[in-house]
Amino acid sequence: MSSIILSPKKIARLLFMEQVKWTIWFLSFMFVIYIVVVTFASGPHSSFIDLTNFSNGSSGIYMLIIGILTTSSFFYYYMQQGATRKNFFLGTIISSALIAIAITVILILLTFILQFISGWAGWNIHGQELDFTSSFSAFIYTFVRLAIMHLIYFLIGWMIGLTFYRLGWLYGLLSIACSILLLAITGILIEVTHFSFFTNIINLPAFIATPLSLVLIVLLFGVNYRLIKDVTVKI
Amino acid sequence: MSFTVEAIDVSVRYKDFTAIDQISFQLEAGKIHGLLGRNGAGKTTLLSVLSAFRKADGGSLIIDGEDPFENPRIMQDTIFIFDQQKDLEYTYDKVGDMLKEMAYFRPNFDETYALELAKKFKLPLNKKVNHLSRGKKSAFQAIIGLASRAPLTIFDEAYLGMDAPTREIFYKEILNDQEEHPRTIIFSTHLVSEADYLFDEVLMIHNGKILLQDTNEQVISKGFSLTGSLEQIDAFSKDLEILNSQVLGGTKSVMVYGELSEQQRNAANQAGIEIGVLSLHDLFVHLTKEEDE
Repeated sequence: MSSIILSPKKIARLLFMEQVKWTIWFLSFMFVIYIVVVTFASGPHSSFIDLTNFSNGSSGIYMLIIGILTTSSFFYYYMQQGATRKNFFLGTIISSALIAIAITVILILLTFILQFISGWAGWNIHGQELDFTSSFSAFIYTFVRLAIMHLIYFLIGWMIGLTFYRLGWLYGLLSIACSILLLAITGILIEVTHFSFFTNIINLPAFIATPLSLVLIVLLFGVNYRLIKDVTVKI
Repeated sequence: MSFTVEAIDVSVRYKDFTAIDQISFQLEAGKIHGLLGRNGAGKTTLLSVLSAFRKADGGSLIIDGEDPFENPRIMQDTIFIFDQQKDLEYTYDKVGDMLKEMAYFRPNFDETYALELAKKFKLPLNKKVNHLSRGKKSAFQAIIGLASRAPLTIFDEAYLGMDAPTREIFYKEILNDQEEHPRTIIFSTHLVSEADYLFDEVLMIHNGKILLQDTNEQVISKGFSLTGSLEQIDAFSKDLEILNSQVLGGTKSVMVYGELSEQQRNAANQAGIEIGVLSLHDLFVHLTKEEDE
């Protein structure tokens, strides 16, 4: 008897390898745009925000988009190759967490490099609301918040894609409405997002916000599993 | 290795429409099963259930002793080839790379055989899949289906767009490779006349129900035509199940479905009635005819 080829680990590896390619494309464009903008905007008499602050928002939207695309492109393909829905689900969870971490690591790394060469290039780059250079704990705090935000955005996108796939456009639109609400909640929990409608009203301390964002992640896992576990593969 | 399939009262419903209506059947392992049915008979829906693409709404399905739904072992050893022209429009990888990639996923995939088939089907390995013509895209899928050597291999009208000589190559390859590497093949088609020699067994479905299931020889042996004078035929065939009748002047010809006893045969011969055989195609067309057609 042959062993199971498309295990969650294998699916995660294949998905990650593909998504990392996309991510590198995305970040390359982001980087080029940043360099162009910073060359014009920054000078001895003015300053410009750093790369992490600059791309914050668009990197979240990028995660949302690849989350939406997961169902139409990857799920359909892996089902044809004989994967089970459950293994695909688990593989996607692993790969999305890895991508969320990878995109955060690359962004912060590039920001550090740019900080380093900014003196030489004559750019005046400064951090904005995201501080990760003042201390190690500030770095860890920002890093974790960014990674969690990227993961949540991916999971929300995945939920939208799955709802459209499983339940059609009407429920799909409903899931978008629901997502806007979830993005707003994410904004309250993790202030780093640009979708923060109520941050001025509600200000949660980190020791409440971080566990709550983990709860939100688990909730999204549950919803997505419910949507995928017996979905019909459309042909 | 090949899988047996056993369906008991399997049903699939779409809202208020019953696509598959409590059907039961068994498919023997290592045989080529022809699945025949008209447009909308429920063929693809049934095959979706067999390949675990869809959950049945009722009944039970056992493949190789287990429920195939979300079963990793059964699912990786089941391949379902269906018309994917639209999806392949967005496949930008090269034919050769895609064929090699299949070896990742399918335990029995034979790369050498796949490349050999690509040569037979004249499929350029360095061309991108989305640039292939309609017929070549089908050939590409057929290669994946054949070279995967999955214990349960399902071809659902996989020949779409292939020209007649290519279809002929495809059918021959099914027979040849099946002989060397036995597996259970389900071949769904409505081009019955050209593919009938492939089938060991025939499963005919109509309006979501099983019309008949038997070996190919048995099915064919039950269909025959009677030709003679109008009065003779009317007298002779009054107790038989008539599928179709044609009158030309004083001559009448009927298609009959059922067994003909030795006595009846002799009587027919004596009366000067000509007994002919019916093809699977004739049987299919007339057995699935609706009242108003």
